[in-house]
Amino acid sequence: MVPDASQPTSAAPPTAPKGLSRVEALAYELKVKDVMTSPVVTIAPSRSIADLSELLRAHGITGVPVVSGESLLGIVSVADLITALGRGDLAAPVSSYMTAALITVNENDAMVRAVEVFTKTRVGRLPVLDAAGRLVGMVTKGDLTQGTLRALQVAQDDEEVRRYRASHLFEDIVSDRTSLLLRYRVRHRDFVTGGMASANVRHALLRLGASLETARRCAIAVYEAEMNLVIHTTNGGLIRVEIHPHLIFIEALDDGPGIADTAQAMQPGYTTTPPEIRAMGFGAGFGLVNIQRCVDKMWLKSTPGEGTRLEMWIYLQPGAERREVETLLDRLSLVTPVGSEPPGPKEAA
Amino acid sequence: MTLAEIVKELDLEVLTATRDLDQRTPTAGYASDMLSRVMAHAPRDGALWITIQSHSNIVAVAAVLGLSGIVITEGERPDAQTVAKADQMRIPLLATLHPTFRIVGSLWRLGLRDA
Repeated sequence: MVPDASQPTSAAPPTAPKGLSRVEALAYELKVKDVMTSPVVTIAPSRSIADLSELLRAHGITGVPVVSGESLLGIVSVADLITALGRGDLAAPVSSYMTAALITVNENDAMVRAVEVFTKTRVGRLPVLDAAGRLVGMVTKGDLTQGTLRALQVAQDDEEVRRYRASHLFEDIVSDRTSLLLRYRVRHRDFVTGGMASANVRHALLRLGASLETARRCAIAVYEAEMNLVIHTTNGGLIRVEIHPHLIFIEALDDGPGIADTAQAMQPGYTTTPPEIRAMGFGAGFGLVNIQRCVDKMWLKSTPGEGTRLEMWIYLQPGAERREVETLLDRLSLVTPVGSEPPGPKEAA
Repeated sequence: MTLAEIVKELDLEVLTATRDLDQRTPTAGYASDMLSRVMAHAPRDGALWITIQSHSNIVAVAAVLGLSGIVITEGERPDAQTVAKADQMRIPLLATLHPTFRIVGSLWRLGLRDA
């Protein structure tokens, strides 16, 4: 859900087309040098086929580049060895059986370049050169697969570590009572970002280790409160989500116009949503009803001309309701950014 | 049945760039154009939602509920901003000219149920 902005993308061409899967994107992000085998076992052109046989067996490989000094001359493989053995040509130099005119890749090429070569040609291994043309490694199809899997594993480990850290937040931070406060500003008639607060709350709760069910209940309550602010207020409003180890407290605040009859507003199907917004699928008159179904307790207070305050409680542990008092006491010392916060203790609903 | 197979069977147009349709298996189906109804009654995470609504708030609804995708019916088209938001939130948007009734019927025939 969080856009993966931390992943570096190669500035050099080819650039990754938009809308790639994670694996496809990796083919562009990883460089050949990230997946190649290095250092390389090489053989001199003057060595014999018998030497080649011994070298391949000793290293458990199926092919080896032929190198003279620093220059790459060709590649000699098991297939070439079999040809030579068939002719009983064990003493011949490898240079007479090697494949010359090599296709190579650069160590700084994107991995996708190697994928393209393997797809278009019949070669099974590619020599990797540095900028100066020196042989620095070899890459096979197997290396591409392993390199990709390794990179995916690292990305997954990162996410697991982040999730683990988040879910242990309340244990790791020592205080008499630890809570997390999320604030979302909701703008009047903004149907584009409206709904994002709830999606973000859901994401945050899952990160913190909440169950899918809890995250869903909480997100639905926040969504309905959010859309009420989008549709029914003069200036939009504010949503605050307090996450405590034992309960979640959500409040939606606005400065008007307010609800004349809150009991009527709670009736299923009752709505004051204008027709053009109802046509978009909003204002069925079930927002507050939905909230009531999702939370353990809700409290709606509104004064026409002043504004509306909707408080919602979700208990995470049995007996959490008894600890509401603690949460209320904590809140008295919170400095809130909204001027409508009443001074002094307020009545518990 | 995966979303990729559903797209093929029902000849749906894929509007988002999501490439993991073959890894999403809708757990159930739900059809409604009233967002609060969807919020209240769409079956658990992974459901496929069929609607004529095409404005960007449908993406938020799908994200909140953890839906596996949205089928937009009767030729309604979301704007570019909505598609971009759906890509960002990883919610596949699928479009068809057929009405909701036809799509729901086809999905039922393919074995998708309401819960």
